[in-house]
Amino acid sequence: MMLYIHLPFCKQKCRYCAFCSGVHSYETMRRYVDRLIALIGHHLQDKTLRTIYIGGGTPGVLPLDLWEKLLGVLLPYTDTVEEFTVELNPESTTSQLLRQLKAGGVNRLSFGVQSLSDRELSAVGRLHTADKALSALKLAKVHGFDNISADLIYALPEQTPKSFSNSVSTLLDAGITHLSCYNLQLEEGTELFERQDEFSFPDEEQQMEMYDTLLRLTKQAGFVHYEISNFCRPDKRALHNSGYWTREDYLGLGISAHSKLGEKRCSFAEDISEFIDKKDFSFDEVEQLSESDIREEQIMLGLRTDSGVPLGLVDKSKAEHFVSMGLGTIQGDRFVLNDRGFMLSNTIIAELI
Amino acid sequence: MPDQKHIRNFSIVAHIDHGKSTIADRLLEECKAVDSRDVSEQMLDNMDLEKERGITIKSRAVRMDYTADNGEQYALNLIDTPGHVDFNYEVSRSLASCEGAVLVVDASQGIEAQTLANTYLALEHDLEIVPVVNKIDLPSASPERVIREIEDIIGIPAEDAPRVSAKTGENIHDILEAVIEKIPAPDGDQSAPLKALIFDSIYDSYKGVIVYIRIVDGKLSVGDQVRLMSTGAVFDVVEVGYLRVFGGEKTNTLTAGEVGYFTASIKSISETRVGDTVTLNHRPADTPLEGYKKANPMVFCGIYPADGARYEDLKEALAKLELNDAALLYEPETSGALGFGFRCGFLGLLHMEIIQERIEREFLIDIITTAPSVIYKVKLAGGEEIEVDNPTNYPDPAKIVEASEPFVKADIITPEEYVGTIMELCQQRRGVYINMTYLDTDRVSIHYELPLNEIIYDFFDALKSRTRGYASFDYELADYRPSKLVKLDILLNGEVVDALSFIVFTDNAYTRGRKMAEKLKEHIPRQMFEIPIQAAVGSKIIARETVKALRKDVLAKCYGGDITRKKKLLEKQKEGKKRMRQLGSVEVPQEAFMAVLKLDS
Repeated sequence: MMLYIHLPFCKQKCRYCAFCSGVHSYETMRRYVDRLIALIGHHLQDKTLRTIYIGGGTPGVLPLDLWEKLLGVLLPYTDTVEEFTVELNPESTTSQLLRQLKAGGVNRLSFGVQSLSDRELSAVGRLHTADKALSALKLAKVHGFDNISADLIYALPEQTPKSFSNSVSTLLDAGITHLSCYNLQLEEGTELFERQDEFSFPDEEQQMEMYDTLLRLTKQAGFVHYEISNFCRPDKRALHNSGYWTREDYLGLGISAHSKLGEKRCSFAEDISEFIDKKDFSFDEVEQLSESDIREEQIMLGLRTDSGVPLGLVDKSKAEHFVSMGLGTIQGDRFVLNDRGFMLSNTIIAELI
Repeated sequence: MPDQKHIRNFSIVAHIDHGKSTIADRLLEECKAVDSRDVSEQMLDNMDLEKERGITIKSRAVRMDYTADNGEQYALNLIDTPGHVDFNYEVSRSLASCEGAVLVVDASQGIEAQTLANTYLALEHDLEIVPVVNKIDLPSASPERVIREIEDIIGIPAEDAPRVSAKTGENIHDILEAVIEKIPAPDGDQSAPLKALIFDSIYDSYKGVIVYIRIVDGKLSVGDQVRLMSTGAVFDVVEVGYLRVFGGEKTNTLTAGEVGYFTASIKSISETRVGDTVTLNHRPADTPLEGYKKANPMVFCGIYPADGARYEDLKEALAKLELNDAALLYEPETSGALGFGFRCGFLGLLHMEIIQERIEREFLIDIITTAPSVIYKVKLAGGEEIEVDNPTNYPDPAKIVEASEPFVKADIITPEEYVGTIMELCQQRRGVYINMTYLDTDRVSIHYELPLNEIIYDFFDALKSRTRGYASFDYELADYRPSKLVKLDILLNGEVVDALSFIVFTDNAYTRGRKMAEKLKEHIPRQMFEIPIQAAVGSKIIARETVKALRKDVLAKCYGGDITRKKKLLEKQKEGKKRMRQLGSVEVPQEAFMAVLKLDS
């Protein structure tokens, strides 16, 4: 079993962010953590956990006393936990926090760096500079974290293939072990979406150039491209995220958090006061998956990764057609997309499900 | 049964929107044929489409009982006519059933092309015209100007024309009095052999065809054996009656001068052609009434189900529509691009649009239509002459001695300020200028001869947008003229898409080919490989566009384990694919087929 905890707190919302997060008072955060603790007690009980992932929002915004409370409740479960990740933003990374996380059993950090160009960072409303990001990474190492991931975004406003290349190589040089690199999605309702005309975005050609650069630099650094947006040293695959793609069970607690329990997908609603005030422990939405849902999930999740899907799940002639177009390979009894195929995965998956 | 002196048979002639249906409703109210509370919607237009477009597609008729100011009882038969040129023949038969016509003209807009065409048609039938000026309640109304216009243009006295407002009901009564006073009573010979004119018919699943007739001479009773003079078919009359707003009112006999209906267990309206003459089998008339002709389709297009599995449904829909529309032709055809469908023939563009819309709305079938085509006459090297209504069947140019295409006489009425832009449009469409006449100081009537081919695509739309809707347009078929025609093919990824081929005037081939290619490029989504779009005449490529290969179509991230949201996005994408047509290896959205029909918009 895996556990995800959502901390929807931020100092300020980034312009591209469509996640469920916002600026909240101490009191709200305290009551939210209390509610999480109650849910943990109810749902976990004596289950054993293999991974824990605390994401956000900006988990670093949570005050230290609340961290202490939350980590204290999780501590008994950490014996069996192989990977315990917390997402951090450079500007809220402090020695005290790192010390506390370490003590709480956290063994992996995921930094929201996004870019190492100050111009791009300010364009999307990030609160940190490139230097701050690099010093946060250093600080984490000083505190004994050796499994460090960083997030980057490509196709940001103002970004050029050159500035992106610089961000990637500088990060790799800084000693990260894992890199998640996402293509910017303009999501409706975000500030960036509404104001997109005010910014200049790299065109598709430039984005493809960035993607090629990303592939080249990560390869040079000895990283494997193990999922559409994820690269790592061979022994540092993200266990928690990999569990999503292999359809392991996970419990997601917090507003908008999703769970997979058996063949049920469950979730909590997005309203924070409703979440805090709710009197029972039930999910707000529960969906029982059908056979065809399960198959679709296996295909769409499997094809995101370097393990691909069993040929038995898909139309073999279609898979062979994609192979002939140079978009994937057949490895034993599995169909696996290659780097070009990953970029067209929506089209391919829509064809196969 | 009233004597002929107390019968009046009349139609209403008006341009779209000039208030024909509202006036008809008011007349029904005035005669107490309906309660005013029933007139929530216009009574005579039965089909939804007619209500929406404010036009009458099929004729309807209704009998009203009216006590005139002179104290006498009259039977008034109002025979509604379709207002559109496509249904000109039906209009002419409706008019032939009347002695008079009420000409309704909008008090602010004046006479329009369609009004004029139908008025001339009424005059050709020697009908007495009763002019009426409507919408006098509008602030912009100028009834005196419009009355002068009627007198000048049509040449009939209009000084004492009723000035009415169908909206407020003002002076509606005057129309009825004018009808009684001015329109002559019918003067048929009651004792002569039966001669009745069929002016409409509808199919009823219980009674069979209900035939709408005007008795010209003689009488028709239940139990009579009738003969239709054009076909010689014989039927036993089951029911006769008058036409009322909410259905028929049975009676025993209809006599000369009257309008009504009969049923005779007739299975299909194709047996009761509009314009045919009904007589008695055992005492037939010597000659039929004049003017019968079979309506011939002028415009053709392919209609295909968007979902191939619904071919049978489409077939059934067309069969049902045909029951009430003798002018609709259809036969199965197969397209490499669109699969199984039907080649359909229509009286004109509006008729085509109406049928397409009815299939989609009443039968809920999504359809794809191919570019409309006219009938081309082609003389072949062997001396043989063929007619081509489907571009796919256009012969190899090497075998063609001469090709000709239909021309129409077009009459465009417009405010003077748009003359320049209209002439430009007509020149572009290969129009031959005939003349221009002033209707009054600022309105003109422009006459052109135009190839029908040039007006079936988007002429109406272009005319509307160039004149902000102020110009009106009417046409009739003139003749066939030799022309330089070529077949233009569209190739996707090197393969001809038969559904997109069309016949075009040679000099326009390049422009049209280029526009087609550009439009297709807009509508064909990028796919995993590059797609060349080519326009070709024979083996010569005259235009080329390329849909670049799709390189990136990826969802970056799963939101904190939220698989459902991603799954929905992919399912949507998959649904989108289903609505695409697979042409060889290329997927083409259905909209693309429709978009190329509207090149100039």
